[in-house]
Amino acid sequence: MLVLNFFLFRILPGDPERTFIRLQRISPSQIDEVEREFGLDRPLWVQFFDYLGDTARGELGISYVFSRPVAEVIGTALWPTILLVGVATLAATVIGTLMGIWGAWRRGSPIDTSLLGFGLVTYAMPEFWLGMLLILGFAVALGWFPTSFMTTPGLVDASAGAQLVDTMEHLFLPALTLTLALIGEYVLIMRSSVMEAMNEEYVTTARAKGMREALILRKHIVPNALLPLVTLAALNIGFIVSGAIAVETVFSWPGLGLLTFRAINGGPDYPLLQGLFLLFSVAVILANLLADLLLGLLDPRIGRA
Amino acid sequence: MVVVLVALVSVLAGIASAAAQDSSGEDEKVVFRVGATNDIDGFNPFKIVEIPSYEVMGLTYDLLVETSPKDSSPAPGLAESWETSDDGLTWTFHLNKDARWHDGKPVTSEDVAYTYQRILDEEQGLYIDAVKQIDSIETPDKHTVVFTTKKPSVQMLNTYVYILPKHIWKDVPADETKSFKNEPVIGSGPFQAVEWREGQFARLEANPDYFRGAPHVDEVIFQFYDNADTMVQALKNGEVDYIYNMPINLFKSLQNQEGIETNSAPDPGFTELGFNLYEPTPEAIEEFGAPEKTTGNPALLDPRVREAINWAIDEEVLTDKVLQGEGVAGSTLVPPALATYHLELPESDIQGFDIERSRELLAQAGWEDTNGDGTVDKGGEELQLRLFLRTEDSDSATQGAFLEDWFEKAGIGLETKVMGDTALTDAIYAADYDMFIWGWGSEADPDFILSVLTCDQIMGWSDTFWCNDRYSRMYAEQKEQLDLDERAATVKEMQRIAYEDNPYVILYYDNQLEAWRTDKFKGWSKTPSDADPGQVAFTFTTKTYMDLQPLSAGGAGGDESGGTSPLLFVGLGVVAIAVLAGIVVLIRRGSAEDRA
Repeated sequence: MLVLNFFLFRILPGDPERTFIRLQRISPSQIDEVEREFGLDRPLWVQFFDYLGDTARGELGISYVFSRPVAEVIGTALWPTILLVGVATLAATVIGTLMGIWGAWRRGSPIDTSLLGFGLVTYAMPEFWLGMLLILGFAVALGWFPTSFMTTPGLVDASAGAQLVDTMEHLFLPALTLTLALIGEYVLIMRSSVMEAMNEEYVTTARAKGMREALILRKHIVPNALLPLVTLAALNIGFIVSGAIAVETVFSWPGLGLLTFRAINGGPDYPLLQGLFLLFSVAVILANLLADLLLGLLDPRIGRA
Repeated sequence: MVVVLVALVSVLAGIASAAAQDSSGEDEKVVFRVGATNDIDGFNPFKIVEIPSYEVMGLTYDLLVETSPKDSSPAPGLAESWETSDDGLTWTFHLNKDARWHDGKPVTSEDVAYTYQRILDEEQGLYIDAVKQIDSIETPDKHTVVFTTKKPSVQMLNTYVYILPKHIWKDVPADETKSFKNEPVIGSGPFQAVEWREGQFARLEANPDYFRGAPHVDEVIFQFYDNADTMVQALKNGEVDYIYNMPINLFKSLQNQEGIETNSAPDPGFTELGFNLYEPTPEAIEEFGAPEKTTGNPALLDPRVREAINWAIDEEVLTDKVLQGEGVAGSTLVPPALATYHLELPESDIQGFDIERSRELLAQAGWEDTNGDGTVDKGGEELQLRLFLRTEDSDSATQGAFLEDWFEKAGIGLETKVMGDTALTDAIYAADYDMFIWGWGSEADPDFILSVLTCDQIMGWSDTFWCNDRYSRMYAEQKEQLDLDERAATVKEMQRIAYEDNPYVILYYDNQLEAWRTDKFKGWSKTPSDADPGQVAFTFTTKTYMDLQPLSAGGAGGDESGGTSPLLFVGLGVVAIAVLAGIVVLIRRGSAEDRA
């Protein structure tokens, strides 16, 4: 993974040294200075072993764009992303699951068709465009919510309560966009999973016992149908940290997605990109592990195997 | 479940009450909010690059000599007055005695001398070009600075050096000049930068003791948007009072909107079609580190071919269609916004739009369509050129479409490719291109934009590898011409050389686009106000920031966070409670059924 992380970004077009310099009036001696400062003058393999050594020691290097330690830059952007993607994932999971169950339960009915349509449309919709539409509607036309940032810039004297309200107002539109973007997946998976479970023999058995349909759904179908959803939700937790590049960029939300966008735009900023993708990889691996362990607990068949 | 419910309800109730408080008891600070698409890069004047940084630094620090908002001529800054000796080598500046640093200490000649000396000693890249003619600096008294220059120089009144407080910077060692955070910023300007959240905003507080009078607003906040669409919506929504630098379509969408005024101002910059004119020589490789080979089409090395291309491009149509009229058709290197130096060509000298003429010139260069396939050829080789366009330029698709059409008529094969700035920069420095479309911004003085085409800039600013000895020699000459008319004549002759040899075909001079809300502040004025009315902000002067006054005293503050929000959150709370209640009921019923 570290190997891939290092070389992947070296293939990117662009030369950080040149990009830096094109913007500034700088003399050739200063070019050398920049090169030395960032170690760009040494052979690639030397840079690679330095990278391995530094990473092992927990040093992620200095960001070219921000001129600060990568860990610090990532640290500031981590919480906004966890807040935004966390809220959106939670909302999408709960609402999407309920919608999926409902659709499967009434399969073939107009309710099912419209839920399925809703899921497919939001799933296919570009987040970028959806975000702009919501801004046009809720921010510009109705004037209910602000368009960008996590707080109103310069809100320093306000009380803690006012700041919390301010953050929630700013959170609403990006979170709604991301929820809508994620929800389709849950609707579709939950719907098919429930329908599959409905054809199982234990459901027929339950019916034969004379159980009420609602009870069959809740006691027998849903718990079994939830299993694939656990995997999906856990995997999405892994992606929480990678943020939502498009949504964060539209709303200027100061999270990891926006940071990734800036790291690619301004350089490319190798140390920062490496740091970010190291974090993303670790998060996805941990989330996979979590999903496996969780499934083991929930599904005795897997646990014993 | 019940515990969760109770917790949620109480949190929502708390928020609702907090929101209610918020709308009643807010401080009515007058805040002027400026939107930009680039973040600043810190408060250290030695490492800034981005344009908004210059705006922030320009409000925080003073210059020795400012530029007049009327006509951009030198105007008093920290220096109230100055004089030059007859030989043009000695410059004496008299400082304003009322100037104070933000921490209350007086601004003295020591500070001025220290700032310039530090730049000279450390050869600070951003400023050294403008000050390296200085030989010595003396401070006969607390309010007088005397500079001696090595040669007569036009740049002493135009050095654009922020005067720094010696008592802060003397403790910063030379090797930390660039890494010094400079927080809090101590300057002497009308505002003081107090807070920077990277990628979000920079906040400046007014300096009530400013020696030329306090500003009328309490704060200026620069807000940074990664997406110009969002920035425009934020203006419509009243979250920002002024925005600048946006794509033309967005600008057009703001015109004729109530409460919003737009301005399209001549900007000292242009968009050009540049050619790869690199011919590898041992000297270039040795001296400039230029690449060892070029993939540029050798046909372009013939100036007749480049002129043919110029005749095949209709600059008027491009200005009309691509810029939708927000600019001026391109011709010479120094933009018309620099009126004194711009070479206005007589009609007869303009390489206009004439496909016949273009074909003739190609034929003179030996390029003719011998096989009748529509593309000219020479020695069995078809004339086929690559044109690289920028992803970052929202107009690149239209530019490409027009050029493809015209080139086809002229018999030149064209293959366009859109790429990102970094990839294009790589291609240019590797001499791996034929043509590209990109732009330059000029300063108020033409020196920089002229330097771009000099031989010395190969592998530096040069993006064409063009090297004309006469042009480069005249560039050095104009630097020393103190007489404005003489210098203007040299600069104009240089433009003629470049225009006739066509290293660039200058397509158009793009206007700078800005928009602002008219319902919150009054006192908007354009700089320069004479001749060519300019922009409202980002003019390298502080005029607008000093003039702006709230329309209604005190009422301009926090109208965003009041009003609808408490209601809205109560509404959201009600919905959340309803949902939760529904779930609880379901569960209750479920367990009741279980028991049954």
